Amino acid sequence: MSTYLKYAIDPEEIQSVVKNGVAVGFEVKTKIPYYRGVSLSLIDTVRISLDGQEYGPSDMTFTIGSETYTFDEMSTMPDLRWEYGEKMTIFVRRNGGIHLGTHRVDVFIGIRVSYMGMVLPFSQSFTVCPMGG
Amino acid sequence: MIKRSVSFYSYQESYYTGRKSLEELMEYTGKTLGADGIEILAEQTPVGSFPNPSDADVDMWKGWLDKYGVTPACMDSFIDWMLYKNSILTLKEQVMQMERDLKLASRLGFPVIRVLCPVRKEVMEASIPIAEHYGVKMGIEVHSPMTFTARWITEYLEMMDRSGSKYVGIVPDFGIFQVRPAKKRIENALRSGARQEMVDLLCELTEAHTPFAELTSRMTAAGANAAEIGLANSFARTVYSEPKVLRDIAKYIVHCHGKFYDMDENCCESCIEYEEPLRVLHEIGYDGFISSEYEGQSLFGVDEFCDELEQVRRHQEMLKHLIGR
Repeated sequence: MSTYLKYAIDPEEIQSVVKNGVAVGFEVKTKIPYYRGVSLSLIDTVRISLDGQEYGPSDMTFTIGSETYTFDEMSTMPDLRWEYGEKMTIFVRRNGGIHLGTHRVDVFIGIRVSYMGMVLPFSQSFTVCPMGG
Repeated sequence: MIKRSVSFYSYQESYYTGRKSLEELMEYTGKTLGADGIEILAEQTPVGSFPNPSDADVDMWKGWLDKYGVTPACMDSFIDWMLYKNSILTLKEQVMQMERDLKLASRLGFPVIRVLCPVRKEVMEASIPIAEHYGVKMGIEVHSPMTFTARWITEYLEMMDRSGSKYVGIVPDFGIFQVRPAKKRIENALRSGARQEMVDLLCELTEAHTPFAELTSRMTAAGANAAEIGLANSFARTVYSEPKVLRDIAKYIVHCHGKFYDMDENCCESCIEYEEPLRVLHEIGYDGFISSEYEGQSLFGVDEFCDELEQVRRHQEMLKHLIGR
């Protein structure tokens, strides 16, 4: 099992996001599913499902360090990077966040890998039981 | 004399999980292993921020090199020609990426950059004046299943001859000398239902350098089960080259990648030949680096710990023994 399949996402860090007492969505923290860092414009595809309900890039924002981007912004950012070993927080807008109980979260991230001439797919599923929200 | 270096690709899990920092890995490589040199992927374990570290970052890096007694051997470069979703970078844009990496290598003191095998020779050719300006060589990696007789490489060699430049060359990856599946991979297959006699048959075939198509048809004909076919499939992108081929390309070699998958307790690599290729390198008077490049991480299951540092130590011991220093 590759390094990033083993260590990219800690399911404990999949949590609801609460603002002013209201759960406005949930977040997934992930390290890059590749063996090096890349330009943000190389992030080709991101999909996250909660109990089968799929969310695409337009439902998300992406935070690295202190900067937050939309997916469209990232696609125009060859000079900004997601470094190897660095966590990105993907926020998914969803009223109510993740309700109490056990849920299934599927994460798909595709990165364009030039030398392979393809989008390198990373796909993992988690059973989560987040608190709060 | 051949010099020993370590590619930090080998330590990818230690760095990714935050167990070791770049500095700690340099200390381990220099002080504990006594290696001469280090190789990094500039986009994996960056010095400061890639591609433009501050002068203070570069000074800190140079301080670490001194403190831990290691020399920059090679920096691995990537050209992202699929940088944007809807277009492929032009030749000029790819040369700009090469320039970015040559400049960084020069600032960090690396004499060579590793150029990925699928990079077009036109990109390297157009980058020669830049490489000469920065005093950094470009070496195209020849990695299994690529061979030195493939047209992709012979055309590269023609370009190098035509240019007459000393700043272009080849980085052979020792994966081209793989003769059987790694021991750890075989153990995994045995646990998944592969039978010892079928594993023996497979190893006989791979040791005879049987082409992959014939390998799978022979295994199928012998009644191979799913685990055995899976093991055979691990050779889908493995093409063996004779070690003597290094003699034919001697003048082009600028760096070597000592790929390995599984070192046993006696510091022997379980699947790749080292003795003969190193003998040839010695005979041709190669005096550059060979980097330990560990790639066995993916052979470990979700609950197994992969001890990269120990694997690299064993590989360096083997090199020390075979090189004689």
